[in-house]
Amino acid sequence: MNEQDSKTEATIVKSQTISPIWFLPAVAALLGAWFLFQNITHANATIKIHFEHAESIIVDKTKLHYKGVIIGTVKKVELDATSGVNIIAEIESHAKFMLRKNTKFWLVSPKASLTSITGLDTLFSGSYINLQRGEGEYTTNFIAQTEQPISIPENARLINLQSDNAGSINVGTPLFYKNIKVGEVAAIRLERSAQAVNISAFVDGDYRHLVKNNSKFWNISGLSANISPAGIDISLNSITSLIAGGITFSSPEAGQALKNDAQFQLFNNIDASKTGLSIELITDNINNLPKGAGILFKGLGIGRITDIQYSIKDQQFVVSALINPQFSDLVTDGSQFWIEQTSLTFAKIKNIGNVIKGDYIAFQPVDKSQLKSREKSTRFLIQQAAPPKSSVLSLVILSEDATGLNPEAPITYQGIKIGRITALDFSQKAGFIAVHIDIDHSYHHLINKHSQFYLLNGVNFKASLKGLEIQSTPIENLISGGIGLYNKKAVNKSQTVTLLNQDQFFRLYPSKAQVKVGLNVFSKPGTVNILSRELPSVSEGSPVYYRKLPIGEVSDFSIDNSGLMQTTLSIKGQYKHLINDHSVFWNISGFSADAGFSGLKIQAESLLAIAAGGIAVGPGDREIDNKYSNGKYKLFSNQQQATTPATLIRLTFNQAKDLQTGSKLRLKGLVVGEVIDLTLTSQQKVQATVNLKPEFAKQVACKGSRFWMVTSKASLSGVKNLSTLVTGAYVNVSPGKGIFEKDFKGEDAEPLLLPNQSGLRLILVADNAGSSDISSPVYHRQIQIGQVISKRLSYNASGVEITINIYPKYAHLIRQNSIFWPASGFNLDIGITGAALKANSLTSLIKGGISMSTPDNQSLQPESDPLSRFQLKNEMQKEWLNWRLAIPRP
Amino acid sequence: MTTNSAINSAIAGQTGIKQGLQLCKVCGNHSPYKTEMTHCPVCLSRISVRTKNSLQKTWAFLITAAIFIFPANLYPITYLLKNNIRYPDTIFSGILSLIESDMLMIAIIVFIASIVVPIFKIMALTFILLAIQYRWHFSHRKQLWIFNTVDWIGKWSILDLFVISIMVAVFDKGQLLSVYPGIAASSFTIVVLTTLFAANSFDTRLIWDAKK
Repeated sequence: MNEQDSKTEATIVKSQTISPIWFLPAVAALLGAWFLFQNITHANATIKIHFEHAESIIVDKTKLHYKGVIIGTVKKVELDATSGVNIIAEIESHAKFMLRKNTKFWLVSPKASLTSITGLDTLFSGSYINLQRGEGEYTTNFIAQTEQPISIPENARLINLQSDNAGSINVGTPLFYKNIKVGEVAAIRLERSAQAVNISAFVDGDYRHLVKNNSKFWNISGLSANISPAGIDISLNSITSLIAGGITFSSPEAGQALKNDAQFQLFNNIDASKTGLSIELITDNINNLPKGAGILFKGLGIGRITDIQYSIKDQQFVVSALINPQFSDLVTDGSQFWIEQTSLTFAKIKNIGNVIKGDYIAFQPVDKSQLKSREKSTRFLIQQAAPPKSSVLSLVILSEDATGLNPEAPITYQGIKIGRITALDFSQKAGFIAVHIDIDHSYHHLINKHSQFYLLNGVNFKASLKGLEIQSTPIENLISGGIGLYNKKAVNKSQTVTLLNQDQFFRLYPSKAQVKVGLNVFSKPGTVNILSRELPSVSEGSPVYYRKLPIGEVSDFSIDNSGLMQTTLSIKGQYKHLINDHSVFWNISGFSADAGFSGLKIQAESLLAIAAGGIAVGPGDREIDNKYSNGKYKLFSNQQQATTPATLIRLTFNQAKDLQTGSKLRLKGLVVGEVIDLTLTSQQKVQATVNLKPEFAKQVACKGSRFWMVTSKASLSGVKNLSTLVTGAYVNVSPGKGIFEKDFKGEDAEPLLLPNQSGLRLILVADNAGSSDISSPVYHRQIQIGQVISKRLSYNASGVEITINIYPKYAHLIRQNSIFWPASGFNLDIGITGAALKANSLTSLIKGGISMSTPDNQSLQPESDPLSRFQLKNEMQKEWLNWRLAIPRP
Repeated sequence: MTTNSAINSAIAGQTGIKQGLQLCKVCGNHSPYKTEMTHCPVCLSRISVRTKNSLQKTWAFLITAAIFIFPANLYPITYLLKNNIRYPDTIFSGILSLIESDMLMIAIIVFIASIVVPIFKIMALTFILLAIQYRWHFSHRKQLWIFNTVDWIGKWSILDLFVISIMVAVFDKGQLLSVYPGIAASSFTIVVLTTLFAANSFDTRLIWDAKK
């Protein structure tokens, strides 16, 4: 107990250490102090705004905005003792500096008008109170504006306009200058005296210089003020002004730019503004011209007819008009006015609107460069028609025919309209039509003395095997025609010099293709008569080609005195020189097809030549006999005959087989000639006349050459010369080496003993031909060593003689005691174990053949002599197959 | 053996020091008080007669909580961004709007959890600490009961923070509708944490030490 007591009584010294945890409240205290400080120094300000009503204002929800930044919240709405409501709002401390005496507050709620939709964002977020900064002392009591104060963009020029009534002017009504919006109406107020309306408008900074001290402002709003048959002001002003009204103003050059905001009168319309330039137009006939008709400059209304009077004294109409001041500078001495009337031509329908609206007056000022030097004028004569455009280039084109030409039809250059036809009449040059054309000013450079014009008409039709190409000019040309311009060299705009002679005239070419030919088109055509035994299959109008260029046409057929048929050709003037004494003519009607395994090659002169036939002309060799004795040209049946002096050889065949005119003569596959004629000789043989190509004539037409016919051959062992199925049979030649000769005997089949196929020929005597056929193989140990060449009955028909040819390299294998047997067919052994089929080879199974062997139980016999006779055994004996005789190579 | 006898010999109403006993706060075992003994003989967790600097720590946490409870209640705890306009809400304005929307019961729960409980905790702990330091004559049993209540209720005040974190996660539709926390949320978190730490660092045995 004592121990315990002493322990319990031990003085417990409390540790005086300060725990580091005190750091935490220290920091908290600092932070708290900071918060407190912030709160005190940045206390929100409470302000009171007086509103007419508190519609759509919600306590704690409705915000105060300044330039889109939320600067406060409505905290309380209370009724004002007298009227309206007071809104207590809390403004955040950072915005307190804006609470000045002239600071304006207004409620923003969605508002849609024709010109603008504002406050669209409030549709979703609810209304808010906006603030506009003002100057003055700090205050917290405000009176809200009923609507958004005029917010004028920086640098804008403020203008006060005074008007009798507000018309259709609203806040936001645009201010136009030359139809460009340059500002808008900011406010409309009734003047204090209630006698006038004050309109505040501003002009944007970019355009503020346009407002001059002598500027005049007038209303262009609405339809009612400006309605007229021509409806100029509707077209003059924007759709915005049509709906929402608009104000426009003049900016005379003489005026001085405003230094300060200024006061102007707003006129109800341009007439009232009296800013328009009054002019008088004199005319004999006002036609359909209504009062109030517009004056249009390049389609833009620049003025209006205000009055039409008839002056009895002068027997003239005096038309008073007012020109928009913006354009008054253009109206100078020399300006032209004319009445635009409806015109209906095939070329165009012009001003059809005038039928309803009445005609209008068109205006054309003098050239820009002269504008300043001209004096102002206010009295003009109305022209009856539009004046020629400023310095148009008038040209005369001579044509033989006016077909397809109409006044007003366009002149085009590479598809762009560069002018028009003004008139057509008879030329002083007999037989010509003079086409008067005007080229627009900007295209003068395109015309020089080498320029050519051609008739643009309708549809160009070009057909080829590739397809059909139809090229059609615009529909306008289809109906009214037109003229195209062609320049050989590209024209550069910088080339200002027009190389035109004063009285140069141009010819009108019938088509663009002929333009390229040149003036020769117009020279007289030449005629050529050609004779032929029969008329070629051409008709009048069939083309005549020179190297595929059509140079003329067939014009007539007749019978010549000599009894031959005469074809008259008309050759175009520019090609006449192509026909000379040595010209040759040939028929190119139809087409020639060259078919080979490489494909089909069709050669035709042109589609036209296929359809209508045609005649070709070309330069001929002097050696060619191109004329008959009476001096007229011969018509050859084809080009070859016409152009090549022929080397003709005659081949006599037993029968023609597939041979026909046009069949080829080939030398080692190369075409060296062509059969041009097949006739029957008195010996009932077929004589083929072959036209040799000159370059091969010497090689082929010599003694010793052998000719044979090649036709397709199909047998089980193979198909030969299949190509001839398509191309037809041809004649092959193995050239000889003798002297020149013209007559040859043709062979029906390939000659057997060709130098390159020589070998050992043997004759096998057999009871029957068996399955051996010509070209059947001869085997030795299943290797083909030769082939059957022919088979025939022996002299007395006691057997068959089969001629075989052993290839030279195997000739030594044939010994005098060699044995031959038919290799064809197969052996069928039928036993208990089954059937065994034995065949030498698949080829022999199908095609037959002859096998050969030499016994090895005898000494080696000498080689067989050519044309030795052997017996063909009827059947094979098995032991023959076991012979293993070694035969040394010679 | 000694332990058992010690427990048996522990007398209610007297401090452990006086009886030569010390309590393990982890396993609740009484062991004889020896200076060299630093670990509980039963569960081997750290043991001491009194938690070191308990009062200081508790005071420090409490003061921090007391400071932060002001911004927690005065500044907006959440911002509601609706149609690009920011609507701040303090805890109290949130409760008011709940009442406005006829959700009285929820308003009461939020009011208790977010305003009453933190203030009560701070006040209750302050009272206990003062009672210990100035040895007020107040029922030690009731002091302990108050502390236990504070300790138990402490975790519930985190409720508000859960609600905010869920709202921030759920209402995230950009400018159309979204919720994000304000300064008060952080302050409130600090209040909750510091009161929890304060309760945790307070050694209840000190209540009995103050008994005369």
